Amino acid sequence: MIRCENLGWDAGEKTVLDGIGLEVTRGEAFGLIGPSGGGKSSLIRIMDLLEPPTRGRLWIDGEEVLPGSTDVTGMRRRMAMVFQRPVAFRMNVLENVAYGLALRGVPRPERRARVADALETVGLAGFEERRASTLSGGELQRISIARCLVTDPEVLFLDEPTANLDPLSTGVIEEVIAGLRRDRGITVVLTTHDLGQGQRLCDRLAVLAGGRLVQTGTPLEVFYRPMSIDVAQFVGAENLVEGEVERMDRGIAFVRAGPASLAVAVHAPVAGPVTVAIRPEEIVLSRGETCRTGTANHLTGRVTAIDSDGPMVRVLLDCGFPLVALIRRLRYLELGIEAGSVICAEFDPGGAHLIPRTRL
Amino acid sequence: MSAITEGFLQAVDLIVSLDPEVMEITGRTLYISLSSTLIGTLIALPAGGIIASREFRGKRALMNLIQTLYSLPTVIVGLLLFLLISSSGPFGGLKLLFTSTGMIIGQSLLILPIMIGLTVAALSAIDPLVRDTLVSLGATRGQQLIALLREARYAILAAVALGFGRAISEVGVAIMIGGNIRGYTRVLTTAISLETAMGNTALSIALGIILLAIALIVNIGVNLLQGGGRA
Repeated sequence: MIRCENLGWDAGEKTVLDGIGLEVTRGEAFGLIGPSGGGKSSLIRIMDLLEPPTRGRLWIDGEEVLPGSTDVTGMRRRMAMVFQRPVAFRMNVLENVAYGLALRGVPRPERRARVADALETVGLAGFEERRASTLSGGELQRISIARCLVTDPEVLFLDEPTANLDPLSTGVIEEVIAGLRRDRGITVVLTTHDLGQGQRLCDRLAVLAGGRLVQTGTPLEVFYRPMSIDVAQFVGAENLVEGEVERMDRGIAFVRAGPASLAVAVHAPVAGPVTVAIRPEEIVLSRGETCRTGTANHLTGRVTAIDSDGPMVRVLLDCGFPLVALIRRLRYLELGIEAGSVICAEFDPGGAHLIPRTRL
Repeated sequence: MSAITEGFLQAVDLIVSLDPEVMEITGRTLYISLSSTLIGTLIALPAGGIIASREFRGKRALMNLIQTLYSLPTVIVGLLLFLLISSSGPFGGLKLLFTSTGMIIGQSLLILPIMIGLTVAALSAIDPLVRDTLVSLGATRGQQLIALLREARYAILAAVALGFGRAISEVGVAIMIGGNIRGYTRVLTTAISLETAMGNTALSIALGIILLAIALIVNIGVNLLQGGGRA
C-alpha cells in the first residue's frame, strides 16, 4: 500500500530522516516506534503527503508520488491523518466531522447520515450539535478520528494519537482503532512512544532512532530479538550483559560473562564477543538455598536496591555484573528479601537474546 | 456655551425631521465608504491569504511596507490619485475626477494596506495544525484559503470594520478627488469641514452626531458578532 525507498528528509541543514526503506501492506497495522526526535512524526507526515521527501522515492498503492505530476490532493483524499494534538474548527461537531465530506462535495443529507455513523463508531453518538470548543481532550481526539473515518480512507495515519490523553480515553481510542481494523480492514500506520500500545495495536513495528530505521519486525521480534543495543534499550531489554561465546550446543550458545556462564537460545551459530539482552520480567528470583550454583543461568546475586514500580517491584542485583529483575509485588513479599540478601536469579535460555557486538 | 447647546438642539431637530440634505449626504457617505470597504475586502482577503500562506523572497520587506502604509496620509493618496486621473494624467480620459467613483477608488487604495496587513496577521495567528488538518483531509489550495479565512473570521471582521472606519472618517481623498460638490460628491466629513468654516455649526454638529452614530453602530455590530462566536 505504501512503499518508501531510500527516503530522506532534511529540515534546513539538519538531516531528520535518512535511508528509510519500508513497505506497509494493505490491511496491516504498522507501528513506528522509537525515542522522541527519532523522526517518527516526520516520516508519517511524508507518507500522508503533507511534506515532500528531500530524497528517495515513495509509492502509494503502487503509484509513485512525483512532485508536480501526481494528483497529490486526490491521493490525500484516499488517506486520513489523526494528529497528536487534535484541532477542531470553529464550528459544531457535525460540521467538524463532515468537513472532509464537504471538501469532496458530498450532499448535506448524506453528510449527516455518515457523520452519525462515524460518531457512533467513536462512541460519541448524538454529539452533532455540540460546539467543538466545549469538548474534553479525549472527546476531541475521538472527534478527529471520526472526521477521518467519515471519508472512508484506505489508510489511516495516527501520529501519537494518545500521547496527551488519560488512560481511560487511551483505552477507548485503542478500542476504536482495533475495531476499525477488524470491521473495515483499514490500513493503519501509527507512531507511538508507548511500547505497550505498539504491541497491542500493530502487526509489525519499525524502530526509528536518529532518523534511521534500525529494525523492522513483528512486536515479538522487536521486543525479544532486538538487533542492536539501541533497540534493546528502547524496547526495555534492560539487562545488557557483555560476554564472549564459549561454545555452541544444539541451538544454545554458552556465553562467558565474568564469573557466570549464560545459556542463550539462538537461531544461527554465533561466535566472538556478544551482548546478552535479557528483559527484567524474564528473570525469576528464588531464595539463595535453592540455587543450583554452577549450572547455566542460575546466578547467585546480592540485592543492591529495591524499587517500587506500580504493581511490580524492581530488584537490582549484583551477580558479578548488574542485573535487574521485575517481579510481582506479592512474589516480592513472599521472598522476603531486602538490600544485602543473597538470592538466586534464573532465566530461561529462550528468554534471552544475543546481539553480536561486531554487528554494531 | 449657549452656541454649542443651541447648535446641538438644532442638530437634533435636523436629524429627527429627516432633513433632506442631511439624509442625502449621509446616504452618499454610506454608499461610498461601504463600496470602498467591499472592494477593499474583495482584494485584501485573497491577497492576505496568498501572502500568509506562502513563503517568498521579500515577504518581510513587503509586510514592512504594508505596515508602513497603515499610516498612509489621506492627502497623499488624494494627490497620487489626482495626478493619475486629472484630465492631463494617464487615466484622465476615464473622467473620474470629482465623481463618487473616483472617491471610492481613492478610499479603497487608502484602506487596502491596513486590511491586507490585518488579514495576514489574522491568518498567521491560526494554529499551523489547522492547516495540516485541512491538507490531510484533502482540501485544495482554494478550499484551504476559504477554510482558513473562515477560522479567522472574527479577526478579519475587525479588519473590515477598521477599513470601513478609516474610509468613512477620512477627508483628504474626499475633498481632493470628490471636490465636495453639493448634491454630487459631498460627504459627511467634507460637509462638516465646509459648514464649520461657513459658521453653520448646527449642521456640522448634526452631521458629526450621525458620523459618530454610524461608527458606534458598526462597533456594536462587530462586538455582537465576535461575542456570538466565542460562546
